[in-house]
Amino acid sequence: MTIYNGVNYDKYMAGQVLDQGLWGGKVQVSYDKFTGNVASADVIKLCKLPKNARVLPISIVKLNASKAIQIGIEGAANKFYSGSPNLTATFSSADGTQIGAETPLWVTMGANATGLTVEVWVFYVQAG
Amino acid sequence: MAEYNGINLTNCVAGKVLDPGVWGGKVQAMHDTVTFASTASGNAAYLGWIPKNARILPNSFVKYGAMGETGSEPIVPASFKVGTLGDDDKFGSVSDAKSAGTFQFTAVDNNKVGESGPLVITIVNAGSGSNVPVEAWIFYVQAG
Repeated sequence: MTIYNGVNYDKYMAGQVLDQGLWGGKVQVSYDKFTGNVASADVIKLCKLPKNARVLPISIVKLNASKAIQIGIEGAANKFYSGSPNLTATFSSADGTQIGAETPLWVTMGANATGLTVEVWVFYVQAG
Repeated sequence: MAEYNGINLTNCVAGKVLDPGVWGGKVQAMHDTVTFASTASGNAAYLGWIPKNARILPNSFVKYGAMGETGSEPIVPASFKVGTLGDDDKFGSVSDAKSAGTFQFTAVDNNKVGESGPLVITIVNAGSGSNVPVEAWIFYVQAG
């Protein structure tokens, strides 16, 4: 039997102080909602993430109709999600890396939509 | 390309102070378990305690054991609904709980629950199962 250590467990065992964003961080959530008519390539800005937050993959997007969307931030449009959610989807691409400067979420439309409703619950931890 | 803001981002940009329940609120978790000795229609279980005006998050879920089915042609699987004392299907329902499964609260909106109270699971269609375990993991934020 071989035992392996995670990268952070390794650091912990070596006595290093770990970033709270990776080790027992307090989870926060923000909610936002948009309703309206949109065209492909339009951007819907939702919530506001604090500087260096780490977005968690348990975050949820909810649409009233399945449409192609990308969720990310400016300069990284699909950082957290890319696809056509069947009503709800989690941020499957979120990898917990720090986002950098404070920013809203960007939801970029991949299709036109009339009477679209987009809701997000974005879960994150504050980085140290 | 047009840009639009969400309702809360719009309020934030306008300098309004937002309810922590929608803007950076601390996520809290609650866990409770119960065993349905019998899955007769109308049986109910009270789980946990949701604080007044909490907002239930869509990551919340219920794990349940196999509740079985009743009848013969048509055979009807056990079913149940999940809600509060004042709204017994507020968080949704499971139409087929014959086999064990997990039910996630994806249908929730962002509304406050109102008065404090337990999560209520009510059997709708009876099942043949006995001593069925049910487990609730409720994630919520406190409203301002």
